[in-house]
Amino acid sequence: MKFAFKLIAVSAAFLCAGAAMAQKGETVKMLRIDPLSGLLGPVGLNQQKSYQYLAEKFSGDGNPAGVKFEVSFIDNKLSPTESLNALKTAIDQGVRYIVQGNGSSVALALTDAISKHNERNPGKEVIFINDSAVDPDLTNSKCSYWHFRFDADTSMKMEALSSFMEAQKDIKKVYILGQNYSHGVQVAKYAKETLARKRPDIEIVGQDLHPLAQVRDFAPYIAKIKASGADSVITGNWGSDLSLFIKAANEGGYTGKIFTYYTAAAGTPSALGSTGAGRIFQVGVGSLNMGGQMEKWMKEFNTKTGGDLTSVQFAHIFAVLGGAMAKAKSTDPVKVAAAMEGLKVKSFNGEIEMRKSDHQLQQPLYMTVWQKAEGKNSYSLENTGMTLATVKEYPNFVSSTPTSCQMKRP
Amino acid sequence: MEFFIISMLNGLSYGLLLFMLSSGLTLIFSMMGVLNFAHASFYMLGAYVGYSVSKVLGYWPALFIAPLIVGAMGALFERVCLRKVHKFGHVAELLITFGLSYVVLELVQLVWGRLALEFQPPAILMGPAFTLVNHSVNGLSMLWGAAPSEMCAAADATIRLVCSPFPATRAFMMLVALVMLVSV
Repeated sequence: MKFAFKLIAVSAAFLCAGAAMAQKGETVKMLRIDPLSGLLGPVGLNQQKSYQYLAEKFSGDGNPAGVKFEVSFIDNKLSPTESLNALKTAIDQGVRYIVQGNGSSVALALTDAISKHNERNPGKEVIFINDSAVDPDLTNSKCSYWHFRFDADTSMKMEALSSFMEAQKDIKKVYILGQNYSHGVQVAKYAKETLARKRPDIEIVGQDLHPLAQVRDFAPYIAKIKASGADSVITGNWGSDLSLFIKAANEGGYTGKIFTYYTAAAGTPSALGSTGAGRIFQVGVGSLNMGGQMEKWMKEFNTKTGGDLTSVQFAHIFAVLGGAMAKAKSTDPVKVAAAMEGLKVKSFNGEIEMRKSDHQLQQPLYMTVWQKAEGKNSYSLENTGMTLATVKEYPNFVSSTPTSCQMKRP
Repeated sequence: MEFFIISMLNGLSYGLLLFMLSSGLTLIFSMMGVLNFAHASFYMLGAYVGYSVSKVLGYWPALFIAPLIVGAMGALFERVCLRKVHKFGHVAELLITFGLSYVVLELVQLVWGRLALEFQPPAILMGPAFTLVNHSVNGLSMLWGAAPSEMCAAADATIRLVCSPFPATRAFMMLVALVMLVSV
């Protein structure tokens, strides 16, 4: 009898070990739905290379679960309709990890579609990994159990940005420029809210929302900004909307400060060239000269592809996914989603946490300024000889913002 | 005042750009009776050919050679295709140019890719054509080229001083459009 028990116990132990081993070397298929052509194409293509590079680094021994990450891509031309078609294709191909980032409009459509799909198709659940759509609604009023955000949302970025502006006493008049869709509207809303709270003396002298990725000529906007007498501009623009805006600002002789989210994204550094030193700021989840593992990766990526690894939050994705898969001992999305909730892992810039209440990653934020690449800030962006140097770092607890998310858990 | 002038010039330059686009369309329609759906495609082709030629020969030769190349393409299309369908009436002409616009679009994407291309104007067109300096005491003045930086920095905080440069590329584009307008 005793022997039988022992036998069962031993075989059970072997079974468990077997199950844990089963995922070693398993391939996790991920698919990113993002623009790869048109005006915003360069951003998507740069991020495609970043994903391929990081997936290779994190595969196998790079993650505690020992799985292999494989990322494929579909061009959605920034259209929510095309993205939903791409989602169907991905699910049909057996992909269980959907990645998307550029365009909160697309992210909102995908969250909705994925929540519905998971409800209707038990056993075929899909996880939505949001790598850069920063509309706060995604983790507040429209939050979903299956959505996980790895970038910092607008409420967090604005919290950090307004804290920085609070200390800059020469800022008196601010102009807000944005793209006319959920993201641009939220940036304007949070900018006004946080500034009114922290610097009530700052006057918002104007606000403009323009069509997304359609404006070729920003000269009229610059003329308006100059006429308003603004000494600073806050903009959430990205891709061509930021590079063309900055180009027009240079041509139009605008000499004030510009506070951005995405100066480092592909195309914009080249548009800046050697101009704008000390006047262009970026708030984001990374800096270019943060030392350690990330700086090594950036340099290697640059020599390998000629591009810049600026979307550093992608590394968090693989760190969290790897950690969750090791914890769940499985690559099944249902188990991994449960394991990701509240998971704390060590990433390249300290401990990060996937907050349980709203699935918003808690991570440090960086305030950086555009300046000459020299000394300890030596990383030259797009070979411009310029860099983004850290002026302030905000640890997790500072940038964290409350959530109103009432999540329905399966 | 400088806001009004700069905004007016911006609007005028945009209007002249649209004139350049549409003048060809009306010319073809009124002289040949063809409603050319591929007109904008040829316009795009001109931009890309200009880009490629300027890479090899430089900006100024490309300014004259690219229109000739695209003109030759248009002439070839007229001889080979348009002339043949002319006897079938307007609908056939309309359809063939409509079809051509799709073909040109795909060809351009094949040859030049689906991303925006980086183009630098020649050095002479890089800076501002002129700069408007609005001084709250001395009034409005105009300078050719870029204004020296000490003129744009107010020595006294009470003086409102605004320098508004007007880009030379834009001024040059307006000049070209005006030449076209006069010659038409």
